[in-house]
Amino acid sequence: MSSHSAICRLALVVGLLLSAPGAWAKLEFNRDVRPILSDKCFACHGFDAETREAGLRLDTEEGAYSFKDGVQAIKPGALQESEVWHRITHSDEDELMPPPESNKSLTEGEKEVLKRWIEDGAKYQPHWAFVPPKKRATEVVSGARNPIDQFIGARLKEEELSFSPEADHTTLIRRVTLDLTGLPPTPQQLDQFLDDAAPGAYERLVDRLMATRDYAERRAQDWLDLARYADTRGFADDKMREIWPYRDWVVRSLHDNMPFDQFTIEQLAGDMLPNATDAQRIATGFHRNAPQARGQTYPVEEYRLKGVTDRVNTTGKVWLGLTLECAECHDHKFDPISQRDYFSLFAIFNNTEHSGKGHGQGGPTMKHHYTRGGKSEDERKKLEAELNKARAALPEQHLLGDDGLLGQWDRVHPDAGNEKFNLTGDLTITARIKTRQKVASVLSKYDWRGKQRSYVFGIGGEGEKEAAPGHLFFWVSSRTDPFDGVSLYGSQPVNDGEEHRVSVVFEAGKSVRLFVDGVEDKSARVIGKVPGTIAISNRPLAIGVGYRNDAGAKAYRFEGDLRDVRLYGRALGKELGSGEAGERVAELMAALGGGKSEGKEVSVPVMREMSKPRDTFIHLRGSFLSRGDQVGPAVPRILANEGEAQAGNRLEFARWLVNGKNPLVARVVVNRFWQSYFGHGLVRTSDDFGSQGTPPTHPDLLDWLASEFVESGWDMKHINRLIVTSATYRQAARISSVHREKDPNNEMFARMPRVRLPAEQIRDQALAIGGLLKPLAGGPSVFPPQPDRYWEDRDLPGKWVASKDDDRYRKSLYTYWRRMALHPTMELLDAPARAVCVSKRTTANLPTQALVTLNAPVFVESAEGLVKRLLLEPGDLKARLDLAFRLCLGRRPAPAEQIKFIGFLENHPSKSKDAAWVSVATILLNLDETITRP
Amino acid sequence: MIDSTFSADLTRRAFLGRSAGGIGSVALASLLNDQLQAGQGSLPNFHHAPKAKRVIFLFMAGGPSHIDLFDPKPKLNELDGKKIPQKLLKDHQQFALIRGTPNLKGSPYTFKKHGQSGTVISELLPHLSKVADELTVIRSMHTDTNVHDPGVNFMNCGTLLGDRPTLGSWMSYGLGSDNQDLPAYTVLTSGVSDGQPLLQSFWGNGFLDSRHAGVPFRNSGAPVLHLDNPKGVSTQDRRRELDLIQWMNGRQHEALGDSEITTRIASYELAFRMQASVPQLADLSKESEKTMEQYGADRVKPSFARNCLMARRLVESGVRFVQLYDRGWDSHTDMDREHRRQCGAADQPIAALIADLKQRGLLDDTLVIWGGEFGRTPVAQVMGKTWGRDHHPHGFTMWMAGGGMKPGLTYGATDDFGYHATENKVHVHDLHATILHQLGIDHKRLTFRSQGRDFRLTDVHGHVVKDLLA
Repeated sequence: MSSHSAICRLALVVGLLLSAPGAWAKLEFNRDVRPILSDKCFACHGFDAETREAGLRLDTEEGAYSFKDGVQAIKPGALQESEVWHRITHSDEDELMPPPESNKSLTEGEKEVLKRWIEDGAKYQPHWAFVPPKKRATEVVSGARNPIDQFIGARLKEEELSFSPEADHTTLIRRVTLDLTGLPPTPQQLDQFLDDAAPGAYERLVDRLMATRDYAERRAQDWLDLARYADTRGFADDKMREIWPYRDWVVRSLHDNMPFDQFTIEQLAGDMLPNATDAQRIATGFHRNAPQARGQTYPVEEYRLKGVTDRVNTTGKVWLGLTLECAECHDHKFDPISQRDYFSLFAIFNNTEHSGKGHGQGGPTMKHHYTRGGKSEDERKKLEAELNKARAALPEQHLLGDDGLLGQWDRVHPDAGNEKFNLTGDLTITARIKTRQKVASVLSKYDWRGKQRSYVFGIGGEGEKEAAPGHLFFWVSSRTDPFDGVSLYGSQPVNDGEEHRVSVVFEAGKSVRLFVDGVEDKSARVIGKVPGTIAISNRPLAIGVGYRNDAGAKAYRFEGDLRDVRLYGRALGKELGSGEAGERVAELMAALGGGKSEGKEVSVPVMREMSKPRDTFIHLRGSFLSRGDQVGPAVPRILANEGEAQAGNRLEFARWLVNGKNPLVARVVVNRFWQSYFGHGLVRTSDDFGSQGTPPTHPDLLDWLASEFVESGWDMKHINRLIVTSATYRQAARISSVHREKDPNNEMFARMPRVRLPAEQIRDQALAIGGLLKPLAGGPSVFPPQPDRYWEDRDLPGKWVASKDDDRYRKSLYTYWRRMALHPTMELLDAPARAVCVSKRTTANLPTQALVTLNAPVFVESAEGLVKRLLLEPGDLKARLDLAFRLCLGRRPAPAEQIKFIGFLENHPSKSKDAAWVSVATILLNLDETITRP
Repeated sequence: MIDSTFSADLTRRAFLGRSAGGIGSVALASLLNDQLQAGQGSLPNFHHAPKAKRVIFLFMAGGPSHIDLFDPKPKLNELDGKKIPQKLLKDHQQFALIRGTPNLKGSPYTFKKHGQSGTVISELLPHLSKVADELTVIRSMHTDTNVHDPGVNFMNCGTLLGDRPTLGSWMSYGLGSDNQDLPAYTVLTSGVSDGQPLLQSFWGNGFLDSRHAGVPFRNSGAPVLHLDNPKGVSTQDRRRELDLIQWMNGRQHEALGDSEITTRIASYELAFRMQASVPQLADLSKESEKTMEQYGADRVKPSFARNCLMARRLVESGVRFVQLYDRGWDSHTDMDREHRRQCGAADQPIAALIADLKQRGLLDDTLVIWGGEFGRTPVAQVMGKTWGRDHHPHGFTMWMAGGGMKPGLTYGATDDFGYHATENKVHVHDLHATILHQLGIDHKRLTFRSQGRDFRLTDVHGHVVKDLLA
């Protein structure tokens, strides 16, 4: 926790100042003084002119030294002539600064620091993060493997600490494998590394790991937290959006080691690149990840603007490490970012189309074709051959009978009667159709424009985004207005000019199913909740034609053969299907992703610039209703370099960020890399490099890494490799009494910290150990089982239909990420819902988490999977125990552990051998050692 | 005012708090506590002597109608059916669903004064009327939005987006837990099945760590997720497994000296204890027939009534914050049917809860809060033969009971139409400040540093409404 480290740091400074003047007794403004001024004074005497008191500003030298009414706030070197000193030590509460009611009182230690500083000449320094990084030489220290260690080692020496010894090889391989791939080392990987006695074995291991897709997937996880990537739009309706191609783009780019400058430009402005490729446009999904209320949420403009502010704030955090959001309502109180700066950035992001109407996504999308992830061409061909065979084996269709039949028609009929067809419960509609139309009504008692909804069955929908031309659709609503019910969309086209028997069966409150030619369409998409009742519409029943805001049916007229249209007032069952043969066809079609061998098409949210930019105004006090000055696009003044052309749009802004001159970007990015391995960054507040953030513990190392990053051509793998091959990273993790005493928070890195695995890795590791993990890459998000009624009990729209087969066991990266109700395994283990950009996860250590890894089905299955693996292992108890330990912990059991576990197995009360082993597997999956990166 | 028994400790911690660079002393105490033991209470860290130790928030999701329950408007009744005066619409742009200029709609329900205090309550709440003297009714609430989920977020965490910690999380963070075997903050849900969705953010921990998140008790299966052992694993089996897990963890701790491992050991022990204590808590078989009747609850079947009884059991066991979501109050087009249904299900158990808390001596230091994310419009939304009311944020009623509030008080007022809060207005931020105040917390000093800023529940707003306090 960052604030905690600040305590220790300050205590250290104050302690040194108050006792023996040591190396730290020489004050440094940025390190020692600025944090105090920033925290206690800047709110009223800082950058924000609006709230500046008495015209005094203490954030600049000029302000602090200036005279007012003959009084000087700070006179360098002259304590008694500095008004500030008198005011912060005043005995009169009315004169005392900061005012007692502000709850910002200075401690004795802080006063002492300010006293020293004034006496020493009150020298100011520009805020460190706004000064471009420079590579500085460092002394050579023993034990160093690369420059990182020179900086860390030099500082350790200064603090009278030293490196911990190198961790043993089994710890090292487990550490680096978990860190780089998110998975534990396999026994083969263990052997390969442990048997490699030649020099450079560790580096070769690192190279092997970094070349895997697992590496890219693990790094993508951190980036997706920043990108607030999720599969839903947020807010109450929290609908699905198909933005997963963006997730796959991130994985692929990281796998290819795309240079970070390109990685930046494509995500922020790929759509604006000349001849932008589809991939570059998909990359812009980065900023379409912003939560988006449904278009009709009032007031529309406010919710559009929420998306824009989210883009500005996220960009600030991810690339600049600045809390720009503070400047939305007023000038930043701590950092030199004005409200005008904020809205100049706002102007850059304010030009994306936004429909703001209806239930749509409210923004531009692009079509993206894909073939189902994970299926190889061979597998697909095999399935297709089987499908053709199964189709040929389909029997003739059953006769449907007249039980519950309410009507039968063989032609288009705009008014087939009314009251008789006011169905409120179960129903079935079937028809024989032959058409090439993309949109056509089959049967309708439904008029959404006229607010007379009931039920409708047809082809291609009525203009809504979810519909697919030529595919069947069925809607039923429990309210005439607004829609409140379920929509069903077929997975395959039926407008191929061949005759098809199409049917839909609605079971009130239970299910809705689609059949084509006697085969249930199990890949049909169900959106919303199946209602318990159907609303009564005053529109007459229409056959082969529908309504458009008019009591008479005229729209969506069916062209082609329409016959044997039947409406039943009950849910038909088996007679619609073709028995087992039909089931088999349905299964094969589902396995092929809906029977379309050429794959599917999704609409991916992307950025698209409007041809004419919107006007942008400053929002006074942050309210979009109070317009201030109009502003044009610009970068924050403090970051603008002389002689540079002003960034006039998103693309120019993105290029400006990574032109190598920005003092923040490279630092912010390498700091997060560091954080990913060491649990915290060199700057602990990884999302705040401003004056309220903590200054870097190792400024020269941070600058060296940042410079190296830019010089290497923004090579991400290079920096990650430097970090994990350093001696600093290879240290043992043992915490000694010296560490506890001198550096309890490990700010000096005299040891490697142990880090509890992130939620995804806890699950993925268990699946891998249990031999269940399916290493399939990419594609639509999957639905590993979650507790029954988890969404329903919260009345969330939609239904979690657990994935089958391989998709149950994919990496957690591919789990459907619902912002308003994350999969509980992820949520309970501290994964963020990603409603906003997350730079660092918080990690708790809770009993509810213990219950997950002890009892949740996926962990129970993993334990059972592990036992299966163990029982296949030839050899005795000891050999199996060896394997179990190696799979879970990357090491063999110590003698005492072996005795204990064998005793446990032999004395297990259960008669079944398996049960005893499942117990052992549960134990191993729940050890602190197992769920912690060593 | 500082209670003398706490002052010595407060000074010591306050010093530490300030030297920590501005984080509040309570927050620091919580940090220090993390080091000692997760979930430990930190009672000595009040800013002033608390009046309430725990909170039960009865959240009427969807928005109950103040005009039909607590805030009678004779003038509105008189003007029933007339167009709404334009002057009322001046400062706001649009109703949530109503379009055009709608007609005023008076309340068809009879209001009477009740108890010695003469607190005015509608005929829809006959049971609550019997405990009228315990209530502190605020008729002048107002909030910032007329949209459901931002409204619920606002009522819970003071922002529309729901990305910050909720009231219960702040309490858990500031005050810790009073019961080692139970989460400090639990959520119970009930109501119609087609109500508003319940979002994770409604009990979210925002930037606080996840120990401060609300734990939703489930209505089906085990009350807490994954509480039950897998099939075939007995309590004894689990104990044996845990013994070996802890033995291994102990070895690991010895070898590495990482205190996080001792916390893990404690977490696993607490999980084991929860497996016994939570089902016990949810087991109502020992409650007397009289109690069940009083609440109108079934021992097993989920309902708001059962949740009220659960709430009493939870606070009795030391849970600090219990939030009940009762869904189905969003009566747009059929006020009479829906509000009668909601009141019918909620009235008796709420009255029973208050009486029960009082009889057990718990009401004095338990703060009960009732209300929704907003009220309902004084204009009608007509649908055929029935009518209802739209969302209304500019003036509505909430009430509190116990926890050091002034009983029998009716505070503030709306205009003649029940449209705007006019007299002694209480904003949601003020409500939050007041709630924290009763818990011994200065809302300006319960802070958490995130992204370089000290965040508060009340952001930069909020005043303690002293008039409401006993």
